[in-house]
Amino acid sequence: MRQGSKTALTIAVALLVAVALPYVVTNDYLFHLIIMAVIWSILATSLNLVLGYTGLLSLAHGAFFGLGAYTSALLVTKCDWNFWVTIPPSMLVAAAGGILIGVLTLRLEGHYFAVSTMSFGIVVSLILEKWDDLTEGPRGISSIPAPTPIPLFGLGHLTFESDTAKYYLALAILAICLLFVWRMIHSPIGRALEAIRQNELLASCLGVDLIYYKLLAFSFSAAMAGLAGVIYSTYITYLNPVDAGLWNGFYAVMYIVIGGMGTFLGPLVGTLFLVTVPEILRVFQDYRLLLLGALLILTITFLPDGIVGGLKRLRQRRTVGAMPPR
Amino acid sequence: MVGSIYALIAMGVAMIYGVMNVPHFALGAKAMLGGYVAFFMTAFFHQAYGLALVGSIVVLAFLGLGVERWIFRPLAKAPGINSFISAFGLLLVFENFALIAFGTAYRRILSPYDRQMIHIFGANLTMQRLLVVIIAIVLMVALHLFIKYTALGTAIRAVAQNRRGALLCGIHTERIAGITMAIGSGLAGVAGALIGPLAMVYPTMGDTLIVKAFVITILGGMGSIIGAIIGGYILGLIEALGAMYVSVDYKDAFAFAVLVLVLAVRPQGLFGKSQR
Amino acid sequence: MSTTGLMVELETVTKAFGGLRAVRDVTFSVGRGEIFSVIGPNGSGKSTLFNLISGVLPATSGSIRVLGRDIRKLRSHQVSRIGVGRTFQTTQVFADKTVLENAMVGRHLRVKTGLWQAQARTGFFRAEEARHRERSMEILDIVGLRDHADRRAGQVPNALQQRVAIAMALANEPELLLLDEPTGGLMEQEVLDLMALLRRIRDRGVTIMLIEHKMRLVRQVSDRIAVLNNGSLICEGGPDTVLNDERVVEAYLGTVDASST
Repeated sequence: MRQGSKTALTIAVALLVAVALPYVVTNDYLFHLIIMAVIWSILATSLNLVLGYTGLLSLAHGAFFGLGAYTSALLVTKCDWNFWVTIPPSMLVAAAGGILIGVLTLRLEGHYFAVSTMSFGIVVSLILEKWDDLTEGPRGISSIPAPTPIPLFGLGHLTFESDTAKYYLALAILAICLLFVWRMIHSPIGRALEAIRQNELLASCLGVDLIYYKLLAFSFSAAMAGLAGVIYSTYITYLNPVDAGLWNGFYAVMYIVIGGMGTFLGPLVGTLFLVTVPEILRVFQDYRLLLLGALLILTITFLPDGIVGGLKRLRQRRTVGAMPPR
Repeated sequence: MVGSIYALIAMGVAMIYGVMNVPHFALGAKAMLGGYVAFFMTAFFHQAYGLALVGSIVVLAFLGLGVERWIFRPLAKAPGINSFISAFGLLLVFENFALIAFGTAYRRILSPYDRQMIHIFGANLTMQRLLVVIIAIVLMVALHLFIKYTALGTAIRAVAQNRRGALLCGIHTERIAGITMAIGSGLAGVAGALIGPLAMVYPTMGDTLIVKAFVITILGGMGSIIGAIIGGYILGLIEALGAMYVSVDYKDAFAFAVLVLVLAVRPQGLFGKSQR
Repeated sequence: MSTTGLMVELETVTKAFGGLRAVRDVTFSVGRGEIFSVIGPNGSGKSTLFNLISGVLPATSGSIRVLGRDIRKLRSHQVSRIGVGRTFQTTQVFADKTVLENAMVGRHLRVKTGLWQAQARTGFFRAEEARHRERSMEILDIVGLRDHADRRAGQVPNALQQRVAIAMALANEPELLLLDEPTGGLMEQEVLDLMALLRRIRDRGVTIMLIEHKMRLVRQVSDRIAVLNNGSLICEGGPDTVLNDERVVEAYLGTVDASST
C-alpha cells in the first residue's frame, strides 16, 4: 500500500497548498493568473476526456465553453436568475451542442472529424456574434454579477464578491470535475474509451459500440466545458463573442498536448505551466504564440506523452531497473 | 474567381493528404506567406508581377520541402492526430512569425493588372481577376498532365494509392513526399500571391482559407484532387450567390452550412468510403 | 438461439471489392462444439471470410447466420454481442496496458455497471469490478498467462502476445471463437502448447473456427475442414477426406509450407 499512501499524501499536500494559496500570494495579478489557470484547467480536463482518453481531436470545445458562458450570463443578466440555477441549463446547452456536433461528425475519420468540429465551432461563434438580439453581438454582455449569495442557515450568507471567494469556487469545481473524470476513467467505461483511442477495430470486435461511447464522452466533455464557461463568465464579469470563440479550445489542446495527452494530471500541469510561465517571462510577450507553436511541434514530435507522460516513463525505467527479475 | 483560389489550396491539401496522409493544416498560412513573398518582390522589383508569382511558388516550394523533412517525416509512424497537431503548431509559428516580422498592417500587392479593365460579355472585370482564373486553370491543367504523363507523376500516384507497394517497387517514397509537399506548398504560395492584389495580404489571411479548403476536401473526398477542384469552384459560386441574395454578413458561414447539410444526410461525406 | 443448432451458417456468400471477388458463393455450416478449420493458399479469402462472419465487413450477397441470427445488417460490436470473439492475423493487443488490463477490456460485454454507479462507487460497483478482475485472472489461467498478468502487453514475448489476444477474445465468454492464424511465428513446442489450449477451450463448450497454414496442426485438431481457393469453397469435410482430396492437393501445389508434413 506504500504507493497508495504516497499518492494520498501528495493529494493532501496539493490540496493544502491550493487552499492556502490566496493567503500566500500577495500579487494581485499573479492571483488573477492562478484563477484563470484553474478555470482553463477545468476546460482542459474536459477536453482531455475526449482527446486524451478517447483519442478524438475536438476543436470545438471553445464553442462549448462559450455556450455555457453565454447561457449563464444571459440568464443572470436578462432574466434575473439565481446564478446557481443557471448552471444546469448552461451545461445542458453545451451538452446539446456536443450531442448535435457529435451526431454529425463522429462517424467521420480522425482528420475529417477534427476539421468538422472546428467548422461547427466557427458556426457557433458566428451565431453568437451575429445574433444581436439575443446575445448583444460584438458589444458583449457586461456587468455580469458575482454568484448569488448562498444563505447559510442562521449564519448569514456565503458571498462570492471577492476574488478569493471566486477562486475557491473555481477550485471546488475543478476538484469535482477531476473526481468525475478519475472515476470515469477507472471504470469499464474508461477502459472502453481508452480501447477506442488505441485500436478502434479491436475495441469494436470486443463489443464496444464506438459511436455510443464517443458520443457519451463527447457530450459529458462538452457539458464540463460549458461549466468552465459559466465560472469564467462570473469571474471575468464581461463576455464577448471572442471569448466564446475557438481560441480557448485551441489553447486547451495545446495545454493538454504539452502537459500530457491521456494522462490524468497532464491537463493540469500543462495549463498551469503555460498560463503562468509566459507571463513571468514577460519579455517574450510578442513571441508568445510563436514559441507556443514551436513548443507544440517539438513536444508532439519528441515527447508525445507530454511532460507528465515523459516523467512517468522516466520513473518506469528506473523501477524496472531496480526490480529483481521474476 | 474566388473559387479558383479555394480550388488551388484545396488541391494542395488533397495532394498532400493523398500522398502523405497528413492533413496539412498550415497550408493556408503558406498561402499567406506566398502573398508576402509576392508583396516584397513586387515592392522590390517594381511591379514585376509575373516574377513575383514565380517567386512565391519557388520560395514556398522550398519551404514545403523543409517542412516535410523536418516536421512531418519524423511523425510518419505516430498516430494521425499527432501530424494534425504539429501542423497546427506550424500554423501558429508561421502566422506569428508574419505578425512579428511584417506587422499587422494590411498590405496591398501592386499588380499592373489590377488597373486594367477588360470587357467580357458585357461585364467589367479587372484583368487581375481574369488572370487569377487563367493562371489557376493553367496550373491545374499542368498539374494534371504532370501527374498523368510523367514518370514522377506516376510515382506520386503510386505512393498515394499504396505506400508500401510503391516502396517495394523501388520508389523513393520519402523523396516523393517531399516533392508532393513542394508542389502543394507552391500551389498555396501562388494562390496567396494571386489573391494579394484583390484582398490584401495580412498575417491571418490564411485562417479562413484553410478552413474552407478543408471543408472542401471533406466534401470532395480528402485525397481527391478532382473533388478539390470542383468543390473549390462550387464553394466560390455558393459564396458569391449567397452574398448577393442572402446576406453579405454570413458569407463565411456558407461553407459550413453546406458541410452541416451534407453531413446530416451523408455522414461519410460526398465521396467518402461508405462503411456499411 | 439457433433453430438448427448450428453456430455459423453461410449460404452463397459473396464479398466483392469493386471488381475483385474475394469470396465467391461460399456455403457451409459449423456445428456446435466443433473445431472447424479454414485452409487454403494465400489470398484465397480466408481472412475476408472471418471479417464477414464477425461483422467487420458487410457481405455483398448471400446470407450469414451466426448463432441463429442473420448478421448482414449488424456491425462488429453487435455481432460480438451475439457471442462471437476473434483474433486477427496480425496480433492486435493494447500494448501499453498490462495483460490483465487487456483481459479486463475484453470483458466489456459482461459489464453490468453504468456511469453513475461508477461515479458513486457503490458497493455493487466495487463487487462487480472485483468479479471482473477475478474472471479475467481465470481466463489468463486458461491461456497460461497468469504469471504475466502485470506485464505490459507490448513487452511480452511475441508467442505470448497471441495468447493475450486469445484471452481478450475469450473474456467476453463467447460461444464462437474465430482464430486467424494463431500459430503465426510460433515454434514447434509453442504450436503443441497452442493445440492443447485449443482443446481446453473447446472442452469448455466454445466452438472454434481456425484459419491455419500448419497442416499437422490442422489434421490433428480439426473436426472438420473447409478449403478455399480463390474465394471459392473447393472442399469440405473431415480431415482425412479433405486433406487427401486431389483438388485440395492441387490447390496447394507450388505452395510448400515447410512445417506441413
